[in-house]
Amino acid sequence: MRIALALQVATFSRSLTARLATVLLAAFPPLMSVGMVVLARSADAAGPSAAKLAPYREGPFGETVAGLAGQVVSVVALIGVGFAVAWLVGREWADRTVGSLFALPVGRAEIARAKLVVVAAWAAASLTVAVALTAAVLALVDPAALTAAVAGQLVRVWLAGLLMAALALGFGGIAVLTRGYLGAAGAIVGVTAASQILAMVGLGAWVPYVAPAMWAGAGGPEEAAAIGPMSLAIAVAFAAAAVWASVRAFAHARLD
Amino acid sequence: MTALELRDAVRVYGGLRALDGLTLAVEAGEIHAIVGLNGAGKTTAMKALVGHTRLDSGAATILGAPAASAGPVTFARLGFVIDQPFGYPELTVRDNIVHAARLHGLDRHAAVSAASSWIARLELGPWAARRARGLSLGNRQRLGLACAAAHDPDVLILDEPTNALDPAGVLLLRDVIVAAAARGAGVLVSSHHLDEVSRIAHRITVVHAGRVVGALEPGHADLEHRFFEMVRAWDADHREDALARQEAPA
Repeated sequence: MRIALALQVATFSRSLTARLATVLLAAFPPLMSVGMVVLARSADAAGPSAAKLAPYREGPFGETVAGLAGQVVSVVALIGVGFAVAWLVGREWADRTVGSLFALPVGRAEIARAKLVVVAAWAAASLTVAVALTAAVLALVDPAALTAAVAGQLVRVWLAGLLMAALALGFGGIAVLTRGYLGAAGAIVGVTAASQILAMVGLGAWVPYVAPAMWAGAGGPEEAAAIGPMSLAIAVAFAAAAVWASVRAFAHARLD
Repeated sequence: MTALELRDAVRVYGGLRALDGLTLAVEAGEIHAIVGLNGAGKTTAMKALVGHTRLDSGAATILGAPAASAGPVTFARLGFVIDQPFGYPELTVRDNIVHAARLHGLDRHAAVSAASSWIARLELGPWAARRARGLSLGNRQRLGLACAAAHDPDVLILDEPTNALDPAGVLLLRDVIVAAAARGAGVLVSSHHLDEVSRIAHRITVVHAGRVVGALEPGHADLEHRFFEMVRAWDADHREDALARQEAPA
């Protein structure tokens, strides 16, 4: 695994996709969640944006930021990690490098696992930075807002982000099946849109790509409370199955 | 020992029999060239050997082991360039060779040493620290050759290796192939350049319509003429097959 990991770290760390996705994952959540709430409560919020910001105008500052962070982290984890894994897997077809990965002492299953491990480690690090920055910015803006309850809620946001990132790893399998990253990019957009619709019709608790976001407070405290261990267990099992399927697809791909 | 063998290989894509009972072997220390027109089955044969494509029937072996189930020990002795050479655009030339050598089983120290040696051997020095995305097509081909051969494989498969090379690159490639065979490696090489393969090959096999239709004597003059005679004779004897191949969807 060490040799395969070294290659994946070298290619991923030098890619533009990884750099852009790192900004999206690490910097966007604190800026968006704290910034939106601050903006909502400022006197400058007016016009059409005022209506959009209305939900964040009321309630305790810390809890509101944490709730919005749950929403933002869940979405950027799915999209950012999804695009990153789609690139790292799909680029082998797009750049026509996949052919050289056949008939090697290092098997393709091992190479696939290395790809997913690299993306997972990068995602975990980026999301940890994102949540830590959110807490830091929150404390900076209003030191009293970072209560134990809010800190606990941010830990839940972090865990939900990790689970969404794990779910996003499955898009690597779509990249294999569609022989490139564009198909996987389409799947990410499709899953995001479908998840929104399923959440709106009340099925979110049983949809793997929705339940972690709801648990993190994306739909408000009532919906978060509705997410039980079974919903999260389904999401974890789905992520594990998708990772297994992605590795298997990469290991058995042909170039006919 | 037989380095490579394809026996009665059949591969059908839709209505096209890309391989139609093709049988060929490469012995240790032998340079075996396969020549043929586009679509003859040369690349498909090579792809079957490394697992890019599966065979519908027949057998492919590498160093005596079935290609489909060969393990790391066998694959560590194989190097190939088929279709697109190894080379990640965002990595430097040196890093690409090091990673390729490590993927082929060399430890880090040996891989770094091999990279330096092959950069010098293939005259890639001026580009060693540059990213592969900035290389010309010819230098990418040299890089691919270095990545396939840096671990000194016992079996080398090269599909149209002279395609983008300049005359200097062709000479370097020829030296690499001859040296590999001299140390006992079996080399399977496909080419459209009959004069070129005639200079270095021990055996030249003509592939047409997915099968072996004859052999050319290396070193003889006017190989092109003999080659076309062979191909046309097969087409004349198998008019229905030839017509069906032209009409079959690719």
